[in-house]
Amino acid sequence: MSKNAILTVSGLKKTFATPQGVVRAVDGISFSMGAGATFALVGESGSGKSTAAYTVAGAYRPDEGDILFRGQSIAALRVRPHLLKKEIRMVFQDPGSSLNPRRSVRQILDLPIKLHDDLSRTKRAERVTELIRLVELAANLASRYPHGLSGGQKQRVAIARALATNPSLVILDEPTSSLDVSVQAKIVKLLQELQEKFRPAYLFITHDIVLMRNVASEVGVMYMGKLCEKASTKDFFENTIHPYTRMLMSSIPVISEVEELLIPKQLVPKGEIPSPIDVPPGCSFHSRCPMRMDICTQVDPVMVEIEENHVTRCHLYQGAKGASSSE
Amino acid sequence: MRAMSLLEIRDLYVHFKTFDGELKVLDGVNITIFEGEQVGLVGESGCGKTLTGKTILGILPMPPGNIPKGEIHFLGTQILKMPPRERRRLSSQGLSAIFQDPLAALNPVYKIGQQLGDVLKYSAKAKGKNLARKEIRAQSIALLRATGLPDPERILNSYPVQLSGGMRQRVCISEALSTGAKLLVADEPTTNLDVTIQYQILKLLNQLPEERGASILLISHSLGVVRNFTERVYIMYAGSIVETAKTSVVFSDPLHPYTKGLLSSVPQLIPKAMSEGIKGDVPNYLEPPKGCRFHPRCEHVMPICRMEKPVSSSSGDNHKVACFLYQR
Repeated sequence: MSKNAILTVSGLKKTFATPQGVVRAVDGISFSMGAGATFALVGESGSGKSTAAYTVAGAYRPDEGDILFRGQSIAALRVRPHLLKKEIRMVFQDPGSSLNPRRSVRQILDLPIKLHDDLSRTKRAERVTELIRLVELAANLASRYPHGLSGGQKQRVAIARALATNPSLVILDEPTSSLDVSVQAKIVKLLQELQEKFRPAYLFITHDIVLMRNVASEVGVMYMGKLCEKASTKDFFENTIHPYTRMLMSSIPVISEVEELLIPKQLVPKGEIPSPIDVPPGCSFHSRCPMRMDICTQVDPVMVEIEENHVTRCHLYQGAKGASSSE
Repeated sequence: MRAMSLLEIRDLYVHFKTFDGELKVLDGVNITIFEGEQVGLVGESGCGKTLTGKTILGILPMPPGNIPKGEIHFLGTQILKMPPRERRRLSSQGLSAIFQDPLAALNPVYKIGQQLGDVLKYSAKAKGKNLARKEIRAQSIALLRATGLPDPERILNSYPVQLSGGMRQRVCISEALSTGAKLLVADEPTTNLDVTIQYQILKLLNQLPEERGASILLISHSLGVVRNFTERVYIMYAGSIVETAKTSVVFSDPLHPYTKGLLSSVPQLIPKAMSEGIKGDVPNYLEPPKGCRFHPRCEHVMPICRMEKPVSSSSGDNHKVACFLYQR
């Protein structure tokens, strides 16, 4: 893994005990992201992408595996140090429930600055004004409460709150999936501009694989708690390998003929994600896979490198170049 | 060809009385659906898409809603003026609906078999037939199988919570098809589902009604969904239809600035910079903008746009657009 990686996750596992059995929400995922990069974790609901994000954010402690932040392990910490909380921040899916309804925008934005920076009251007020301007909100909204804002405006406040402490890693958990397309476009554009200005790395959790074409620098696809393909964005979209990823791609309702040429045709989406309690033996995707072989029902494939920086976990490619396990 | 129009909405207005004043939501909607056609209705949230669907189905709560003006013709009869009992009879045979959240649409305390059986039983009764239990069961199984559900016998014996989102939506589709409806209003049927499931459900919605000779009004905020699964599309903004044409035409040659803005907001597989979206928000219906309701957000706004509401004018090939830029 590269030297200047800001976040390195290796063999991360998180299970939950339920009355019906053990759910392996995240079952050994590994990835690494550089400073100022955008890593997209894509998957259907129930694939474990949000659990992975919450574990990185520190809401859950992993059962196994390691999380390195700037080279230091933070997986085993029971309480994260103050400074770490300043560096890793999060934006949630539903801004309606992640903003305190009884605090005004000004108060919401003031709190992280008060907690993490030693600034005078006037300096803090200046910083709040600056944040509001940065996320392109009208200055007069500062005294409003969340219920008086539209969905897009609320998400802007949530983004401003995350960036208030100048973090080096922001976890975005489906930040635009509750918004209209025209609002989504504006929010994503804003996120990109802010990244250019302040260089935070984004861990982008999403189910929208198309959105990632123009946002992410690297994409990883999750299925039933495991990564099944990971590559740099260009490679990922130009040379999609794993049958699940191709199934995802061929389900995309595209809006132009040019795009239609880009999606794999021969894979018709079928089936549903199985129950996370009894995961199919072998490759967890075999129940839906059109290219299933005998071995798939018995042995779980390992990650292999297909080309530089492009890994996949599928028996079709187990014999590929340098089949050295990277897991 | 399809000469016969199945549903015709003419100049429909729907307002709501609230304590703050009157919300003027639908503002002269015109929609025509022909037999066996698959029609899309797209717009942002808060544009009046669902409201249009509810008005067609006759499930709009009135009051607070009221219809100051407009007509809806279904199978040649004006259904807005009909006595409620007759209207219910007509729509129980001719109209069906699929909603966004199948868990809310299904009754949580009855088994699927009971719910689906009731629909079959009472729709047969309305046609003057009585179905035996065995027939109901056989028909239920056939319907569930037609929607691609594995093991229909087990599903009939399950409660909605025991099924996945995709399976529930398939159950809703079989219920909607069970009455032999002529028109299926599908209101955001796949918004809660994953893309791979969405694809399967929409495919199903494309095939089944066609086999049974029914038309579909697919209401969606997703342009991609509408492009891939409908033949003709209506673009709705702030309570009026701003553009309509064959789906392929709207997507290859959009005319209205709103349609263009929406299309450019959709992320694509082609690498390019993210677009700006459309500035501003859907207007407040208490005091909607005068003239064209899109003018405060429009890049090509002209003085006339602030004063008059543009009428829908044809620009050839059944492509109609309500914008002063194209009025001659």
